Amino acid sequence: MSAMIQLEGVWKSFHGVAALRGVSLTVGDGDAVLLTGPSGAGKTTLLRLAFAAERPDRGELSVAGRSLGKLSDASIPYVRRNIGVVFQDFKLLGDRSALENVAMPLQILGLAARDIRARAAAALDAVGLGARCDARAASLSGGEQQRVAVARAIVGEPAILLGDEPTGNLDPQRTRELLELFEAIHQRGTTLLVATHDPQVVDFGVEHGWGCARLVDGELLDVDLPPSRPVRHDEETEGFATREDPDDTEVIRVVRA
Amino acid sequence: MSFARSLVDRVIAGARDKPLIQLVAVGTIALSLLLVGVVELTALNVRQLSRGWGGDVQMTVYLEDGVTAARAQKVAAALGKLPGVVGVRTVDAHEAWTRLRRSLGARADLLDGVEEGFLPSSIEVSLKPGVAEVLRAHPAFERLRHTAGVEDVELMGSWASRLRDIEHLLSVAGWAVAALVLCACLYIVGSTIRLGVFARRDEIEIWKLVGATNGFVKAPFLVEGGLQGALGTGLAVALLYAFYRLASPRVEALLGGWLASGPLGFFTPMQLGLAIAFGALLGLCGSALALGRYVKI
Repeated sequence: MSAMIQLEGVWKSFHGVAALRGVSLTVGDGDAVLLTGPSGAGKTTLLRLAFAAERPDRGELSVAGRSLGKLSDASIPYVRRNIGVVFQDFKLLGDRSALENVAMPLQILGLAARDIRARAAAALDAVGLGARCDARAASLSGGEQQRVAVARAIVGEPAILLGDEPTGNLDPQRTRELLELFEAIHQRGTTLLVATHDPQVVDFGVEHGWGCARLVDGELLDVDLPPSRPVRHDEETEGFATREDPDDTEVIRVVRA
Repeated sequence: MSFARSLVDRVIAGARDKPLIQLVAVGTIALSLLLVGVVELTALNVRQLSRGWGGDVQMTVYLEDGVTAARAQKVAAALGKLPGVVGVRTVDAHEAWTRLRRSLGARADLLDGVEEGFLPSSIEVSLKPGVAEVLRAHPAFERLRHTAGVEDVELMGSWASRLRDIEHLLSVAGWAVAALVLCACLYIVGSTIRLGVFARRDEIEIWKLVGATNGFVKAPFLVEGGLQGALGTGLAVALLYAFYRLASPRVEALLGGWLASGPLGFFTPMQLGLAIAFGALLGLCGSALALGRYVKI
């Protein structure tokens, strides 16, 4: 199985304070891995590196075989289009409808308005919010907003789904529902990397055979990655490098359901 | 199609977010450009007046009564060969009378009953800059005055050159004001766009996180800047035209009585169209300059 996210001796500092200290981690294609550790351990920094919001100071970081450290600024958006991210604070536009929020990743692809609406509605349906498409995001409950954020993250059918404390604002029941949704997405072949310090999430991960990597003070201490698991090869599609991508030096084949 | 629709939606959303700021920006651009317009319009009319008064003619050779057309042509041809002469034109008595009548405007009735041929025929000579001053002291000038068929020679040096100086001054002032206003407009548009970027920073952050390119994020702000420039210029043109319609009858009456001028001119539709296009370009540049520093992946 190929590595979907790979860090080798990655260092990252902010204002002279090291957030990551020589972290090496490999998340295989189709794996689900939890990134645990206390607050300030560097979990968010690692995720931000993975979707190219930051660049490593030292070390090698590659996503789907592409080195992000050497990536040009112009190529970053194309990489991000293949990575869905669920943020702890949702990052929704409160004055827009749930559907408009979910449609954002599709709008940048220049799809027809009818297709955008249909796909965004389907994504909302998949997270159980099909009936609330037109509700303003600000009028939704915390749990509903989190599900809208998940719908936005998966609407573009990304190869990788990143979660930064995605259950931070949810009660245990909503947390369970969200994790089951993540597991369903994972079962379709999407690679998951979820940062959390919520014991309920860790228990769920153990229960479902997810891997676990523990970060403390920017160092990776315990790594328990899952054995290679078969990915359902229902359909082959082109992955990260798109024809528009200026750094389109290689086409990486990823498998999606 | 979806990109265009998304762009229009985002431009409208931006305008809806801060309509007052947009109005203030368009109004300020309009007032700034109105200043340029007034200076340019004044320069345009001074040029027109200058031509109407023969401001491009620095020397007039008045011919004696009864000089034949052949003799007049001969003198004109000789003058045309002189160094420093740019152009030569013969004006017969009828044309001189017609010009005088036109230049008197509303007071043309003063010429009623006056015989058409009372004005002398003449040769109008345009000279290179500085030649008139040299010619005044040159022996050739005196010789010309005593040439057969020539009644008198008049050098228009003083007032013609003053008129040219005013024209030149207005032209320089116009460019200086235009340069200042251009900088001001760039600053105004840039500031408005920066405010817009700040007000929509959360949205911009999300667009970037979901994979939008810089171009996608910047496009509505560029359109907004272009529209501000075009609308500001359009408003300036409308105000300038209103000012022209209001002021021109009074100015014409004043000049008609004192200096015998024709109707005041205004910019052509082509010039106005170009001005609005330039305004849009100005807004686009102001926006692009502001975005360059504030919107980056």
